Amino acid sequence: MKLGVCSVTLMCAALLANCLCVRSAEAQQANSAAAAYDVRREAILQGTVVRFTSHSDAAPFGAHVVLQTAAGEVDVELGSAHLLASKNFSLNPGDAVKITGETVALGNGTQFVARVVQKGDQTIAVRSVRGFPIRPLTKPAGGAL
Amino acid sequence: MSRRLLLVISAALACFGAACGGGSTPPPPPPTGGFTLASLKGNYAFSMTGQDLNLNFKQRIGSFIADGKGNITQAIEDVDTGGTFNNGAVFSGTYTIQSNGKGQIVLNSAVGGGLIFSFVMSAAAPAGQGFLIETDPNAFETASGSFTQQDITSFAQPFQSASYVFDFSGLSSGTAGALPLSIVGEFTTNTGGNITGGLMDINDGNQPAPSGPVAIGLGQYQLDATNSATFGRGTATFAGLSFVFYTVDNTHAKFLEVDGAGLTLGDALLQSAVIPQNTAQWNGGNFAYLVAGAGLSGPLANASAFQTGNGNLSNIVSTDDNAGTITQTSSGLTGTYAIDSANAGTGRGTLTINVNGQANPFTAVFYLISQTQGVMQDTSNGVIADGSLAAQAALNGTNFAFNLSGQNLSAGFEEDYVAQYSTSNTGQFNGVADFTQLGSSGSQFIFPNIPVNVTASFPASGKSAFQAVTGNTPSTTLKFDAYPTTQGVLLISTQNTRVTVGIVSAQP
Repeated sequence: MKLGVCSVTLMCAALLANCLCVRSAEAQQANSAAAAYDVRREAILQGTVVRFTSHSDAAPFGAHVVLQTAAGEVDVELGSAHLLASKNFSLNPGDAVKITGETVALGNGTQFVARVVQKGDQTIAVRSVRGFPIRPLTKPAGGAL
Repeated sequence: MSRRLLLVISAALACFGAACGGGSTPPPPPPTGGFTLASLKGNYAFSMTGQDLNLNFKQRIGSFIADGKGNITQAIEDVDTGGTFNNGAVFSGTYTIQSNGKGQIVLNSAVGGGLIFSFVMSAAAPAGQGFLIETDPNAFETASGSFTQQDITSFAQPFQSASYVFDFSGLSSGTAGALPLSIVGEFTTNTGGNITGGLMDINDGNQPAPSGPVAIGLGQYQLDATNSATFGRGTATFAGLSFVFYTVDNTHAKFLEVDGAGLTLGDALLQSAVIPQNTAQWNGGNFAYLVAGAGLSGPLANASAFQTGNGNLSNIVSTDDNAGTITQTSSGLTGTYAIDSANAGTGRGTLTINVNGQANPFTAVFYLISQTQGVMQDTSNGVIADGSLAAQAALNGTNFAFNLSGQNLSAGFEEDYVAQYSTSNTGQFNGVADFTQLGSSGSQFIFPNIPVNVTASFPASGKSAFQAVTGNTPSTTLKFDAYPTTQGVLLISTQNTRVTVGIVSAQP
C-alpha cells in the first residue's frame, strides 16, 4: 500500500484549499468520484478546539470540529461521531489537536476532511487511506435476535 | 417481477424519512387489491440489512413457513450483529395481510424474544414475493429486505451443474474499525457439493484499491443436516470465505457471510448458459443501473440510464447522491463498455462514464446474469458501491408495491419503508405506508398505516420523477428519480437530506 503522506504546512494547506475551490467551481461533478481522497494531497492542521459538534445539520453530516489555527478558524469534518465515542475520544473547547486530512471538493464548495486526529497521546484514524469514514465495529456480548 | 429486482435494496446502505411524529393522521384509502391470507402460503426465504441504535451493522437471513391461514408454523434465521453471529434461531408466529398486499408478521421464539416485520407483497403464492422491514418496537433497530417463495423440491439439490452470478455487500472488519465491502462475481457448481471455480471482483475499504478480477478456486457447499429439509438451509465455502445460504430454488439462493472477516449479504442467481463472450455478442439496447454504498462523505448512490451499442454508451442520463449532494445530469456524458474477453464466458465486463470537465470518471465492473440483467460494482476513485444493471422497460399497471431504504442524513440513522399505492384511488391519498426510523436521541419511531400520495410515471427508457407525500403531521415529501427496468423501477433520492434507494414493482 502506498501511503505517501504529504506533511505540508498550514500555509500550503490553505493555498491548496483555494486551488481546489477554484477547480471545483469550474468542474461539473456528475458522480461521487469527483470528490475522491488522495493522501498525496494531505495537509496537517494544528490548533485549538473552538467547538465540537457530534452531528452537523448540514452536509457533510458527520461530526465536525472548528479549529482555531494560525491562519484563522477551520471547519473540519471528522467522520463518525460513534467511532470517536467508541474510542472514548472527546474534543472540548481549548483542546490542542493535530489533524491530518485534506480539503476536498464537495457540492459547490470545499470541505477539510480528517483522516487522523491526534490529541495528546491519543491518535485515532477516522478515515481509511482511501478516504472512507471508518465506522465502529461493536460486537455485543452474545448475539441478539 | 423478477427475483433479481430484490437484490438492489439489500445492496444499499440506506434509508429514509424526515422528522415525523405528533399531530393527527388521516386514515389511508380503503385497501385495493386481491390479496388474502392465502396469498402468503408455503416456504419463503428472506434477507435483510439494517442497523441498531448503537450503529451496529445488522444482517439477517432465514426462512419462514406460512400456512395460508394467518399462522407462521415455523421460522428460522441467522443474524450477524457487527460480527457476532446468532445462528439457527427458531420461531413460530402469526401474520395478517390486507387486500392491498400489505401485512405484518409477528414471530416469537421459544426461548424468549421475537421479531415483528411489516411487509408488502408484489406477487402472491405460489410464486410469492415482496419486501419487508423490521418494525419491532422492542428491538431498537431497523432493517429492510425481501422475501421470495421457496421451491422445497430444490432443498435436496440446491445448485445445478452451472454458473451463478453473485453480489455480496456489507462491511469489511479491520483493526481500526469497519469499512465498506463489495464482492461481485460468478462461481460454478456441480451437483456433488463442489464449487469448481469462478471469478470475482472485490472492492474492500481495507485494501488500497479494487482487486480487479480474482480467480475463485475450489470450494464446497453442504446441506444443513438439521434444517435443510425444512428450510433449505446450507453452508458454503470458497475463496477463503464462509457462508450460510438459504435455497430459493435451484436458480437462486440467499447468502450471509459468517467468517467474521467480511460482514456481507447477498444473492446468487443462475447465469444464462448463453452469455456474451465479447463486446460484439452483447445485444444493444436501453439499460439502467443503480448502485449504493459509501464514499468520502459517507453514504452515496448513483444511477444512470443509457443505450449500448458497439462498445459505446449514448443518451446517458444520470443521478448522483453523494451524502446529500445531488447531481442530476442529462447532457455532457459519454461512455464506453466492454465485455472482458480475457475472462470470456464469465459474463464480466467494464463500464466507464465520463463527464466533461471532471477528472474522475464513473467506473464499474459488472457480471451479466443474462443478456438483459447483471450485477454491478462501482470501482470509481473513492467509492465502494454495488447494485443492479438491467434492460429498461416501461412499468404498467394499476397497483404497485414499493420499498425504500436509506440513510436519513439529518438524523444520522437508517429509515425503511414498505408501501402500496393504486392509481385507481382518486382521493387525497392513493396509498399507504409502514415506515420506521431510528432517532439520534436514542429512540425508535414506527409509523404503521400512514396514508401516502404517490405521483409517478414509468417510461420505457431514460428516467422520470417519483414523489411520495406522507399524510401524517408533519408531512414528509420524498422525491426520487425513477429508472424503469425489466426488473422493476429503481429509485434514487433527489433530496439533500437523505441517501435513499428503492424499488417499485407492479402488483397483479
